[in-house]
Amino acid sequence: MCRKSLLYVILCFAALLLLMGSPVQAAGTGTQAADQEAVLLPPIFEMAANFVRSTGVFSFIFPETGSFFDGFGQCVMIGIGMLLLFLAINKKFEPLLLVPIGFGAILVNTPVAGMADPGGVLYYIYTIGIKTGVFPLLIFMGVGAMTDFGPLIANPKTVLLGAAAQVGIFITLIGALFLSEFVPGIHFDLFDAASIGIIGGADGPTAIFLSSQLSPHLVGPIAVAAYSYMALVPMIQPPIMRALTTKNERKIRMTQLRPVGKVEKIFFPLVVLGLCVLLLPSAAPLIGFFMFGNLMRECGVVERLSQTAQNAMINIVTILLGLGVGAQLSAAQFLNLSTLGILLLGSIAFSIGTASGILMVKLMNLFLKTKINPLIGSAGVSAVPMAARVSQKLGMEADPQNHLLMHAMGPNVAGVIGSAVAAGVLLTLKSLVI
Amino acid sequence: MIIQGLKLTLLGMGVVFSFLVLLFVLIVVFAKLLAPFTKKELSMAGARKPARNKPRQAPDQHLKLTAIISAAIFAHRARSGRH
Repeated sequence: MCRKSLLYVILCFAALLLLMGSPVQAAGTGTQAADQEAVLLPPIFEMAANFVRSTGVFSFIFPETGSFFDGFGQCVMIGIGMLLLFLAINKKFEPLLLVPIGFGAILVNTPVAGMADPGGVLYYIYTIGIKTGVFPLLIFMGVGAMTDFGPLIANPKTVLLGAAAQVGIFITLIGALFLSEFVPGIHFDLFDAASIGIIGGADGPTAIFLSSQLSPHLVGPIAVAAYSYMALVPMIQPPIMRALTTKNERKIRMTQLRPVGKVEKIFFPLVVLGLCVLLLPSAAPLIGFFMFGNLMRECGVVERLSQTAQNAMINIVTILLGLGVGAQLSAAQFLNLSTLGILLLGSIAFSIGTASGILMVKLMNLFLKTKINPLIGSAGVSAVPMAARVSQKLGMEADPQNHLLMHAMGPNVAGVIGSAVAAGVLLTLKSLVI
Repeated sequence: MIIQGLKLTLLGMGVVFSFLVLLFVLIVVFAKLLAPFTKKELSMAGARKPARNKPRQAPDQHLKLTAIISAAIFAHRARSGRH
């Protein structure tokens, strides 16, 4: 009863307001309003019309820019955001990255809110963390703190596999220039091509870092391609691996790795950093942060910092990085022929990287006394630890007693260093271009 | 433009390979240099190992734990049977 009467009172009050029709004074009583500047609202019907104009439905159909396709594009991009969420949640495709990226894509395509326009929250996240290259580097530090270089130190030959798999980066770079030359509607300059090529490094932070430095307008599609293909590694790699190896090669057993001492593990990041400082200072941001994280892990005296870098910090930065990348997935930047080109080139990059790693093992086996199982060559394309797991799986298929996981971790982490070095070379483009 | 790409590829793969070949050499050299430390660590770890294999709980504690767990399972079964 009490509720009903309250409803009547409210309805009467609303009707009274409607009938008045005149501008309503919003600020307090008369005397107070005289002191302050009066805030006037338009008549109620105009207010309602304005409100309707500011709804999402209206903005999708009649976008501010006037072109129907802009509104339609936003709808499509929200659909793509949902698709990324579906892939992450249902198919477990790199969920840690694709959930924030997918959600970011939905937020950035929300009309009226302008979250990626100057002043919007996603604009700040992108500008502070991704444009400056800070987030990918912090992630790299966390990855360093999670990486055990033991298998690589125990079997240093596998370093070469990490180098061979980087061929994918450069072939893709040439492919991007080729597309740009011969396909109308696709225009990539040398910087764009370099950023697209790095997808072949199969290393998310490196790809985002390089593209944010060389061609920021491509960060969104490149990050989406890199992470999607990394999630697809278990599907892309096995057919190539089977095609390039014989059953007998897949059965090759590898000798057990020697144990690696703590002192060796402490020296390793310093050695890599020293090499980087002397040979390729342009790769110092990537390799430096990677090795800093690893030194924190191995030195054993800053356990707290190491734990923070590989847990709390990398998680926080991953959330922000994902949202920031999602903020780049606006219709104007994503819905064009270039994105299709990037997605196509990305898959080629992964395939070539996988193949070149395997072929490198076969080449090395011609000279080596103790043969290497070619299945671990494909792990040279970073994508830690997915690529190593694929090697293990295929090895077990050929011989259930053959455990390749630890052996594949060597080229796997060497691939991370290799792609960081390749990124360093591509970063020098800025100074190389005349 | 494609020629530029080829030039970059040559330079890039050259640098990547030379960097990682040098890294290979350095890893081997450092493994040799640090071998005494590694040996010492491994021998120390080997000496410590038997101590680690000691059973953590005394047998009577095991019995007590088994009794508690089976009592809990029994209680749970009895309760779910009632509902």
